[in-house]
Amino acid sequence: MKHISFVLNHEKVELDVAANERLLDVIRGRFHLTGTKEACGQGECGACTILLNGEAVHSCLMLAYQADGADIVTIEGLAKDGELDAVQQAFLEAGAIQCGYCTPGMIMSAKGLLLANPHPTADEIKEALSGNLCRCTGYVKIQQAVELAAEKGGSRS
Amino acid sequence: MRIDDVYIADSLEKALSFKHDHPDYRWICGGTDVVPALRDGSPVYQKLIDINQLRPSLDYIRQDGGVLRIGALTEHKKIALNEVVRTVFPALAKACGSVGSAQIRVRASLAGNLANASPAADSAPALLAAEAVIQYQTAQGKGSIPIAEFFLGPRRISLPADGLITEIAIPVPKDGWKGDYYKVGARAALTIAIASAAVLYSEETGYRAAFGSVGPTVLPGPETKKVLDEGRTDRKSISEAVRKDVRPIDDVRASAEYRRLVCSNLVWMAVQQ
Repeated sequence: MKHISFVLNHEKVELDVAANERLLDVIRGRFHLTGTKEACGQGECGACTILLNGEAVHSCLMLAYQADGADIVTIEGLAKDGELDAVQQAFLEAGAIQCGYCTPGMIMSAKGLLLANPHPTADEIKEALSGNLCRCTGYVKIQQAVELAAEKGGSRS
Repeated sequence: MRIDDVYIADSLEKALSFKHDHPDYRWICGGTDVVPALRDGSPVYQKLIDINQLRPSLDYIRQDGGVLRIGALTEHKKIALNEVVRTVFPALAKACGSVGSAQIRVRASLAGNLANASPAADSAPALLAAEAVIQYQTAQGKGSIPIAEFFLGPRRISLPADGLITEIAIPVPKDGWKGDYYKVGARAALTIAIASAAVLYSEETGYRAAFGSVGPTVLPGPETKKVLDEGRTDRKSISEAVRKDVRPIDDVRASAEYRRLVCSNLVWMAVQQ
């Protein structure tokens, strides 16, 4: 058991975690933030993507104690004051969602990209999202959504 | 997923002394190979020494005369984007940029990719071709191993039982390493290479080649080097040489013959550049 504290969606949290808890388990099971999904559980599908200190990472590949001292943002932490983040809004407007299971991970990867690179090229968007699988959309609208998000100021944190 | 204990080391000295006293504990840094192994029920990683807190001192990229020095815990993303690496060793930047996915490259360390000793490790062929040196420390002191002697087989490396890799030291010719790294896999991201090849060139060294996923470890390409140095860059000569260098097997991802063909084509592609 380790006592850790980190910032989760802009609020400081403290808890005891077991050595074998993954960050994904803590986010979903302890904080009930179920927007972050588990699909493959081995870092291949990207459904569990979160922001760790502003960069997109797999929460299924991190042990929870490794989040000690970090700044973690999940899909639930993007909207502010009841307003969707520009990336979320762009996904809605572009129709980049079908079943929705990959969407939180896609949006967090897109957010990570735009934070580092506010005006990515089409190839940079493809590269940044290549670790996220979607079995419904065919990716074209997701690509368009990220382009739209960049225009809408999706790089603001 | 079973983990019996994690020791979080806050200094290199403490990490090395703990490992010396507890040889059954295994290193964990980014965890992108260790956590999936644990999830699959691996008994190997149930006791861990976490070295993420050593990152400040083992996360660096610097050019030191004719040697490019990369701290063991430097993440692939940083190597892929680093201006010095992109200038003097672009094949390594590309190789590190093709590891896993963007999410994995943020966490995964270079030493972890090497120590995991997958024959498909993306960073390994370029480092093998450049004759990089693995620097390590134990509680007793420092040591080094040429990368050609480091890989013993799948998941097997030559490192003292209580050793921790601290740096990858890469000799860099005066005008840098020209050349490229190519990999072929089932998809662009997150793929385990079916076959991969690094082809390097400098005036001082001539050609160098190394291959991934076509043997029990990454393999050097002495025959390939020979034909390229002799200027025999036609497809037939390259193919004959590559076939002597690689030792692929048939497996679920591809046949041995396909791998031989792919490696020949990758070398030919690199030479056209």
